[in-house]
Amino acid sequence: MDGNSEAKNRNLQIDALNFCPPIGAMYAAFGVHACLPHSHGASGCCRFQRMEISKHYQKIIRVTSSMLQESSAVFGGEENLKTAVKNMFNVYDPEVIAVHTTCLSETIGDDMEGMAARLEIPEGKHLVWASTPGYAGSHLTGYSAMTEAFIRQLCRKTEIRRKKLFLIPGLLNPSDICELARYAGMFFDAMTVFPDIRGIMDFRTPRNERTYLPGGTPVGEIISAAECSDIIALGAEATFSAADVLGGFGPAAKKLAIPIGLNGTDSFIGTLSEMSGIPAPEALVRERERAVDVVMNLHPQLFGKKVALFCDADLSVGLTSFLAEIGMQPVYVCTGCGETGFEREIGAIFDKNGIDGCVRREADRYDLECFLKENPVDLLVGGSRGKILARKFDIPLVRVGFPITDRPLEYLTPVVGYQGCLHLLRKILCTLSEHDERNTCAEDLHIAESF
Amino acid sequence: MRQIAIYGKGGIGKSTTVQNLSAALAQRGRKLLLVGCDPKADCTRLIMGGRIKHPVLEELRRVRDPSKVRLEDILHIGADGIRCVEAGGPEPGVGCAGRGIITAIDLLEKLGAYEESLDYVFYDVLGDVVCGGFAMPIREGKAKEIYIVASGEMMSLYAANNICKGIMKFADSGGVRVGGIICNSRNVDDELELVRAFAEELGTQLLTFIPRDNIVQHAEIMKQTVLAYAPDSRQASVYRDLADRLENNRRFTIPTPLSDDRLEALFMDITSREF
Repeated sequence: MDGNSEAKNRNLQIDALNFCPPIGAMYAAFGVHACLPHSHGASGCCRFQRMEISKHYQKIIRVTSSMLQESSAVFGGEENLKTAVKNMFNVYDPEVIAVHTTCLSETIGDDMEGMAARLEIPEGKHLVWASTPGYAGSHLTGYSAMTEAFIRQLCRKTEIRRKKLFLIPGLLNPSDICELARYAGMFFDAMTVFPDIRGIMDFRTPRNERTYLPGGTPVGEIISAAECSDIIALGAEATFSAADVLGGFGPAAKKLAIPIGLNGTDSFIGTLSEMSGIPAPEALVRERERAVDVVMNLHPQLFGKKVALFCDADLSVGLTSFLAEIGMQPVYVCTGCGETGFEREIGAIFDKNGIDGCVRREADRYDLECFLKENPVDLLVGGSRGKILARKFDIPLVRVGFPITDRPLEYLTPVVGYQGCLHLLRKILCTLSEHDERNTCAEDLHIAESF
Repeated sequence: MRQIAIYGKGGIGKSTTVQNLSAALAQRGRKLLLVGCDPKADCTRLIMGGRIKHPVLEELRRVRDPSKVRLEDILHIGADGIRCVEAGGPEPGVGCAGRGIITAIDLLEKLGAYEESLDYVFYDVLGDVVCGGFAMPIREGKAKEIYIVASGEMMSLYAANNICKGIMKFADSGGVRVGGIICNSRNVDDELELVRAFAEELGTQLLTFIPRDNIVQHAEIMKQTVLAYAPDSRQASVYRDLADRLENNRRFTIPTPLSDDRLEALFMDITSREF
């Protein structure tokens, strides 16, 4: 199927699908305990990025900024950074500061490495920095850069190796990380999840600026990460580079797609079992059976329905695989600023399932709109911004991914694992049914659907 | 008011030429503003009898807030009443000198440095046009007239050719034109013939050939222009002649840069006869 990606040939993006890397860097930094993200750039930059995360979780978050101004643009941002870091330790008392760069500081060529080395860091505190020019890549690129920076700059080399899992979950919701950790806990007694936003993003930010929520990866566990025997990284664009760096220290690394759907979850469980040498426990086998039963039951209502998918690259890979295995047709899969591997991975899923689909890694929402004009679909899957197209073409929309800014508490529903599989099925079917019913007159409505 | 930008390879003698030219124009009664667009802030040294202590950006760094910079602190009156401003910039390897030029020129405009009564504004821009900032003097309808200082050395003409490629971008939008090449001689073989041929292929002209003379060096050591140091010297009259040609110049063209191959062939044709 041909779906011309116009965005490549256009000089402007119309409603971009991706966010800029600093958002991802912030997101990852929040997954470290008592960590304060810091934006080395102009103040407006930080405000926009902070708000996107804030809107998704409907809560206040704290991110500081170097507040670079005209004179800093000319003379470099070192003075501002120095003052900012001093103030941050004084006012906010974090254990770690995670500095990410911005378009401005990257373009004027601020030497972050040298600047970071010259900063005064109080005893027992840490500072990590990542290079995240806003114009290079998506929010996953930034997530990856910050995650990698933590490992590279904090993790100590060691020959000691103990049975412990180091799980790098990717840019997901806290509920997803709960599921992943629950599975991993069935195979490993000891485990580090990094970045771990459980207990941070899903709880209210303390009023006192010096108080931090109990969640997040303890810094000590990142420092001693090389002691872990095994690494699992989930999601190519957000986590693989950190896994490669840590793998270089000795632990065995396995890199998988985000486990969405039966196949994805099976391979996650399979990897856990293989690494730990423990067979899947009975409870997990039963959990899987139930998910398979539900898929079998609901399958007739979903079979052959066409879906257009617009999520970040890593989530798209998992979701495409899931949609294909429940018999749906993900005919258009697009993302903004995806890497080349993205098209390959989606292409492989198309081939495996015999789907005549179209994949775009440099698309925007206008591309999606052009596709929808020519190729009607039954369902849209993606973030809140898709609702305009949903209304325009009268297609139901299932909200998945980051950010969801128009429905509260979406982040509490996992999409990964067998549980996530059930939640997704329920969401898809409810959305399809509600859409059908809205277009049905009162006397023709069914009270009970036969499943 | 004629706004003129001077470009050319680093170290070719732009600042020396501009300052001597300015002195010659000023002595004819012209009112000039000289804007140094180089972080080293040494474009007005001969007119000011030493380096300016307060480049625009240094002042901005001191007071932090652009609205607090005062014109009298950054605009200096030098020999022959020539007004001098240095943009200045960050220390080497830090910050963004290009952004600095933009900031400085914006600030000069806001502060009213471009008086109606000025006859000439000269922008003396460092070396190659490495980024957007160094193109600031020819953007947004500022300098519409460009002169390139070059010698017969290969790398110098290479740089001049590259600068012309940059100028072409602004020729359509900003109406920027090249007024000619000023040859600051390095005493290389067939220099006059070579630079003249190059200028013609470039669709412009050789405005003046400035012979090499040690008196320029002597004047520089004394922090003076040749016109002040040795007003009766032959070199001084060369600069007066340059001023004359510049005042009467009516030939402004959009350059037609040479391909690299063509440029190398030009050298081959003209100079290889010697060896």
